[in-house]
Amino acid sequence: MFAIILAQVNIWLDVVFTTVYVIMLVVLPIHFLASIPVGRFRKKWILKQWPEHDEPHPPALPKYIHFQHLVMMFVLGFTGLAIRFPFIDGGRTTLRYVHYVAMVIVTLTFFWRLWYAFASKRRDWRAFALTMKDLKSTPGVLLYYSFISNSKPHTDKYNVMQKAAYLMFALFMLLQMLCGFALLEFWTIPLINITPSALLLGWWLAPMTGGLAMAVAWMRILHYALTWMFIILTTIHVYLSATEDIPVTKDFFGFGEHHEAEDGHGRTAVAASAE
Amino acid sequence: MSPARIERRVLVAGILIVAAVLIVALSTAVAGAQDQAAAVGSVLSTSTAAVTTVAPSVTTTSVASGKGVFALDFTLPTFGKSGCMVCHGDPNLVVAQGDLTHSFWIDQTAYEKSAHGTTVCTGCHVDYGYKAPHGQAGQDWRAVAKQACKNCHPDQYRDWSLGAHAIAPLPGKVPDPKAAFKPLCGDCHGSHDMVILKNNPEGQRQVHGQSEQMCGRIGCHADFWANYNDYYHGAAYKTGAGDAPACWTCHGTHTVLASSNRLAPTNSENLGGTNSCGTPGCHSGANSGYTAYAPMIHGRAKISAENPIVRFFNSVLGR
Repeated sequence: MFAIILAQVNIWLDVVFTTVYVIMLVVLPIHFLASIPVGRFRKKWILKQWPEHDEPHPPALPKYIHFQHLVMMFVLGFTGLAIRFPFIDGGRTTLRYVHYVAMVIVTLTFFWRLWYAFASKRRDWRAFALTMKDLKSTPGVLLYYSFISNSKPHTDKYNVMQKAAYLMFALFMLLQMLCGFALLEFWTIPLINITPSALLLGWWLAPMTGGLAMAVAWMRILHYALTWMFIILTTIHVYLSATEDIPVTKDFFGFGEHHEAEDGHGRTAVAASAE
Repeated sequence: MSPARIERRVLVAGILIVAAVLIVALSTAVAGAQDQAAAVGSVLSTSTAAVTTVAPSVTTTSVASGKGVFALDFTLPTFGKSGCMVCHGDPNLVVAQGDLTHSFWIDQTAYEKSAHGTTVCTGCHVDYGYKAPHGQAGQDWRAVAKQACKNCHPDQYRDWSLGAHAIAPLPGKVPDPKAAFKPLCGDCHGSHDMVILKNNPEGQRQVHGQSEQMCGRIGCHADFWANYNDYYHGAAYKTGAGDAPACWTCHGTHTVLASSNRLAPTNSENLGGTNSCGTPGCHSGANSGYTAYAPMIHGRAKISAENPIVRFFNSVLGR
């Protein structure tokens, strides 16, 4: 049942994701250029009418956590791809250790962010929760991003696509941590004397695939596919951050200007001007 | 006849007799020397032939031990390297070969640090213990030296004799027409700078990185070296990854067999278990599904070219 042709699957992963990414790199500049005829480019980049926000500045801790995630996930992506597509002389041992260290930091940071979202004084999990109101706003948001409409429905701090993207990030990070940990075949966990591969896969996936080696091969495929998902999601995230709301993006990295919501409803300036 | 004339004739006759005696003596001496040289040459060739056979004789065992004694007269000393190094210790020792010069310099410092640093020159160059100059017609001194290993490493030689690199055909097999081009011990392992492997991780690491020199040279398996470029094995190995497999990790060491051979560790039926993929420290428990990755190891470009999306882009780009 699980006797996949590993050689072909590996090639398919490379080809499909590379093709998707190249297409995306072509589409994103076209999308940006499309903002010129509809007037959105002029309003944002010339008239400086950027979206207004309910909160003046993002709090410091989420900003720091975001920055730490950014750096470590870049390190993880770079070292991970350099392990799969070796191009640095000297072998991959150093890359692996850097990957492991970044993995530990990202894992800790992830749980730190979960603590902030659910257990801190400024818990903000509601800002990420998808509601029926969000789902109903989906067509309007899609029409806005495809330049068919100039009015973006405002439901919450984040729109439905942002919420979906951030939740996907969280889910993928959790999966990536687990399947990355499951790739450790040669290190034994102290005290319990078992490898992470055997601990995480030995009792369910190994019997299904005919052995631990095959189960690990599956995890490696999933780990690699998720890496591409991160690359694609992050590229879109960076593009939209830069083109939709550069002031708040700068603010997130400590270079922001102070933006107070004038009407207190968090409406975008574009939406306001459209009215 | 006057007494003076008689005296002159006696003197001439005496001179002629002495000259004749000298000529005979010289001829005899030269003939004797030639006979002696022929005799030594005959013993030398017998000795060389003996050490190149699969089962060396008792005489040659002592000759080729590297520490033994030659029971024959010889010109060059065989108990040490000093005799050879008189000439071969000179970095300027070159021999003209057409438009090129070939160095015959031996770096004694490097040699003495090598795995055979205590072995005397004639331990491997078993046909050089007798006379100078070297390189008499008909002597393939390189082949002799490259096979002399068997006198101290008989197990490895036996294993080599059972593999695809063996020169002599296996019982029941026809002689391979490519036999003359097959590698001898020294072709893979090198010569004077062989690193120490025993209890020497640095030496082991160094040899681990020599797949191209040993197996992938032009004239040997350069094509397989070039296409050894899958993600985790070949491409990683070529960047110096110590944990990526060298050629012999999968293909075996001395008993190298073609993958089509049922006994080869790289035969598709043998890839799992403890062979090739399942080599201890690699992918223990690799099953047939897992070993389905194996074609990637030397065939990434081919499998990639067969992918429908790649084929589409290649056709669009006119490749």
